[in-house]
Order: sequence, then structure tokens, then C-alpha cells
Amino acid sequence: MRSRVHDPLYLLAILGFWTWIFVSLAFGALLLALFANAFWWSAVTNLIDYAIIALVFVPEYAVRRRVLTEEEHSGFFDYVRGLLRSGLQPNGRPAMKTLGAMQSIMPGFRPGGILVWRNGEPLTHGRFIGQVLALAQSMPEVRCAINLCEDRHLFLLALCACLVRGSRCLLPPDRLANTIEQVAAGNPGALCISDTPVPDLSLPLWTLGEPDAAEEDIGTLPEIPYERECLVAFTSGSTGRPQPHPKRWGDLMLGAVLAARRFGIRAETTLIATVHAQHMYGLELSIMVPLAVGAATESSRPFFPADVRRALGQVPAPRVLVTTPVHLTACAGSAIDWPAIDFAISATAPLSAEQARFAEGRMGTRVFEIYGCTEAGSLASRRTGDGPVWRWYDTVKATPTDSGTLVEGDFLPAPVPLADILEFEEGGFRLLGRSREMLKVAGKRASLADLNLKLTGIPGVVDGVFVAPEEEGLEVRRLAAIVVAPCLGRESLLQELRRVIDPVFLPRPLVFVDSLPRNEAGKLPRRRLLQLIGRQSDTESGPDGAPC
Amino acid sequence: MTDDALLDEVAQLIIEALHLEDLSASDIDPDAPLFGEGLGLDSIDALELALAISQRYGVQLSSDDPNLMKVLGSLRNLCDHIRARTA
Repeated sequence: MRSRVHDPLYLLAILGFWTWIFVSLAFGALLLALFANAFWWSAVTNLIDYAIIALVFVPEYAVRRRVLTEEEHSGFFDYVRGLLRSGLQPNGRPAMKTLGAMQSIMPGFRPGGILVWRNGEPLTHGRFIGQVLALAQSMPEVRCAINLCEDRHLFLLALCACLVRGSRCLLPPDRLANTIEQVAAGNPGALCISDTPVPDLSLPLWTLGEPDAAEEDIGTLPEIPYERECLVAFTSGSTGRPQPHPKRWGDLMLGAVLAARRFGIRAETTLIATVHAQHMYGLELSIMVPLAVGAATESSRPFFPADVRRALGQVPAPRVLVTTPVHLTACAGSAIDWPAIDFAISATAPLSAEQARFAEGRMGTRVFEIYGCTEAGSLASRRTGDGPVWRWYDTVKATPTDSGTLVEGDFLPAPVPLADILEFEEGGFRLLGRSREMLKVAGKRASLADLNLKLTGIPGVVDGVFVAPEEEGLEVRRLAAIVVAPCLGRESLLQELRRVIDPVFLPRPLVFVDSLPRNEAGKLPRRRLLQLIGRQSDTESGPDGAPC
Repeated sequence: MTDDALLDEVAQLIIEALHLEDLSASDIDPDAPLFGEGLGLDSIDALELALAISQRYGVQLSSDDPNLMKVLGSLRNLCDHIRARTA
């Protein structure tokens, strides 16, 4: 980061400021001595003083308010450019003009701009809007739609067609038939839209194919009211049912503008994401940021490191990789020559400083992390190799309360409680841990209570409990489970579990016992549970095929 | 390397890379499915396995490969793929 002292404009301004103060004082005294009433003269000189103060100290104030990074504040003109680009006022709040722009279906619209790269082929903003309007006409009339599209181009099409039609878009937390059916049960009449089949799904599926090459449409963009709850994200919740989190269109767009601004994502940038578009993090970075600032997104969801390499190779620089610790570590560890990656962003689970530095070295890039949650979207970021402190996004304010931390922000309709334990410090916070009941495996969040309900809900399971083996820390590698199920074999139990929970939560080990070690209060002492999973070699073989 | 030696070596690699220490190489049936049912691996395992194979043999797994599902179908198919790519 450049030191302010080496900025010639800054030095000049400071020098000019003090010189002017001195000169105006001297002239003021002289004029006062020569003329009886020097009021007008001193008013003029004062005004000029204030102008200089504004020139020099407002940018300084902007840095303190975190409207500008120090790098951006290398001079007054850069400051003005930064503000104009961001649509924010000097106090960090969005200008009214920007709020108005958020009501467009695509605030980042530019006639020749590129929204999607698919197999190396660009799709312009104009052509995309043409496709959206065509799809909106041919789509069935529904109140809400479950958007299961995996291809980002088709996901965007389904989302924007729903926006135009006024249908709500529902985004289930995973692609399990059971989860989708639960979401549909809470929203009668919801239409499932997908580009690929969903195994075992008992609901009708409207298959979205490759759209016809639509005409460019650069007429008036459809307007979406700021306040409209156009989209619902879901978390797995703690009740056995997906928990809905409705989002307002303007909030989504404003949050995306703030995220883009934090990382310097511009209209020329292309985002390549290994995460699902339905996940809040993937949604914000690979879908909402492109719509809000006019950046491009790569349509595939590359999985293996070789896939990531191919996707990166098919788009022009500057490239930004949106990924998770698991994918980033796999990419960094693979013997692959990487093209220029402007930077990589990781989220969903914490990345260690060593992992980040390793990835930076091997992939020749910078690695940042996002902190956020489905309820609030992304809230803070850090460059992981630089230290453990997270910096809040512009406009975000966090307040510690007795029951945890509450966050507020211009893109949040109401304060949101966080499930994490934070330690505040100057300019940001450190992440200390996750509240006991919530856990994450491979970046996916679940509550033990929810998993236990699903486990004990399986016919034949008399009692059962999931155990997170790690004592402390944010990320659990694998869960264990202890069950009482005298009539069920290991294989059939796992098969049933696979239908109702995400595979990353499947227990490893799975221990069968005659009864759970409940104490007098009916509680399960953690120490006893850990002993049981530690003793798994003795009890490993479940009563497969036991007569019942 | 003989077929059986490679089978053993890759089975050991799977156990180490995926922290399946409660298994031994001989527990993995070379013809049983690795993912879903059978050994019960998931997508995170697939990624870790791809990384281990890339580091040990310099072979990259790719979703573009039309045979990917078959390659990941069993230990034996995986070994055949590694042998074909390193030959």
C-alpha cells in the first residue's frame, strides 16, 4: 500500500492549505487596517479555505469511513472517480440516484457488454435481455418457481424471466428430491425449472433448454421495484424443514454493488465459479454481481482442477475465481499451469493463512475470503495471507448483544443475528468460533438438531445422535453418528440417510449400539459419545441382516 | 507395474487421501462402485481423490472426459485409466 506522504498532490494540497491560511490571515489584517469594513473580503477568503479543507480532508474522511481503500485514495481525482463509479455518497451510503438504478433488472446494462461466456462464446447484455423477454412470454403462469438450473446462463434466464413475470424464485439448499419436495410443500403451486433431470423427483419439472438466438433488445429495461421480495434462499434450518429467507431485489443489487466495490470487480471482469448459483455466496458473486455491475460470468460449474483450468482458459482476462477452500486447495495442489487469475475469492468455510499463501504462490494470484451467511449475504472480507482480521463491507454495522452479534447494513431490511462468535477490533473483527449447535462440513451448514431429527425420523431407528468429533474449531471434517436400530442394516440405514441429508453429512464412522449413553437428565455426555466413536473398531460391524 | 500391484497402490492412496484408515487395501473390492453406494464416497472425496492422483501420477481427471463416470465407477477402472494415461 502506497504511503500518503509520497503522494505529490496530497503534499501540494497540504502546502497550499497552510500557505493560504497564512496569506489570508495576513491580507485580512492588512485589509482590516486599510478599510473599516472588510467583511466581504474575509468571507471570500474563508470560502476558499473551506474549499481547500474539503479537497484535502474529505478524501481522508472517506478512507476512515471505508468508502475508499487507501489505494484508491491516491489523489483527489481518483477519489472523485471512485465515488462516481460506486454510486455512493462520501458517508458511504448509496446515493439516491443509485437506489433508483437498483430497480432495473440489470443495473450494469451496457449495450455491447458481455454477461455470459459459454464454451468460449460470449453473450451480450442486449441479446440476453431479448432471451429473457422471450422466455417470460412462453413461461407458464405461476406464483413461484423453484430454480434448479445448474448452467449459470440458464439459471440467469429463469431468474430474470421470473422477475419480469412477477413470480418468486425459490432456491433450495441442495438438489435432493426430498429437499425440493419440502420447499414445494411450503409453496403450493411452485413450478420446478431445471436444465438437467433431478433423480427421484416426484414433482413435474419444466425443462429449460438452450434458448433460440434472440434478437438484441436494447429498448427499455424491465423495472423491478426495490422492495419486491423476488427471491427466497433457504438454509437447512434446525426443524427438519428448509428455512426460507426472502430477499428484496434492491437489497440484492445493492449488496452486489458493495461486494463488487470491495474487490474491484468491474465491467471487464469475468467471474468463474465452482459454487452453485443457488447457494447465497454463489448467487451473489456469480449472478448478482454481473447483473449489478455488468461483469461477465462463465456459465459452467467447473469441478475438477482440470475443469477449472479449462473454464479459465476460455474467457479473457481479468479473471476472478469464486471458489471454496476445498476446491482452492485441490487446484493449488494439482500440477497445472494456471492462466493469469486476477484474484481468487474463497468462502463457505474458513481458509487458513498457510492454505491461502500456498494457493497464492502456486496459482500466481491473490486470495481473498468473504464472510457472510445466507440470512445476510456477504458482510466482510480479508486477504487471508495478510492476517486474521476481517473488514466489514461499506455500510455494515455490527453490535454485540447478550445473545450474540447483530448486523445492520443498507442492504439489510432488518438487523440480522449472526451464528458466529466474533471479537471486535479496530476496523473489523476476528472470527472465534461457531455457536455449538451449528456446524459446517465441506462448506455446507447444518444444525446438529436438524440432522438428529432426520436420523431419528428414519423408520427402524429407535434412537440416534450425530457427533462432531472435533473439540473446537469452525470446520468439521466428517461427522460420526451413534444409532440404536436393531432391525436395520448399515447399508439400508445409509441408503435411507442419503435420501434425506446431503452426502457430506453422512456419518463416518457410523456406530451401532444397544442404547445411547443417556444420563439421568436424559442428556448425552459428550465424553461418553466420543468414547463410543473412538471404540468404533469393537462395535464397527453393525447388525447387518439381523433377524427382527 | 503389474495390475495387482497398481490396484493395491491406488487402494492405499484412496485410504490415505480420504482418511479411511479403518479400512485396509484388501477391503476395497476392485469392482465395487467407489461412489454413492459401495464404498460410499461423495463429491468432496472425488475432489480429494483427483488431487491425490494428480500429485502421484500426474493424471488429471476432467468432467470433459466422456468416460469419467466409468473411470470413477470402480477401483479397477480407475487403475486402467491411470495406466492408459501414464503409458
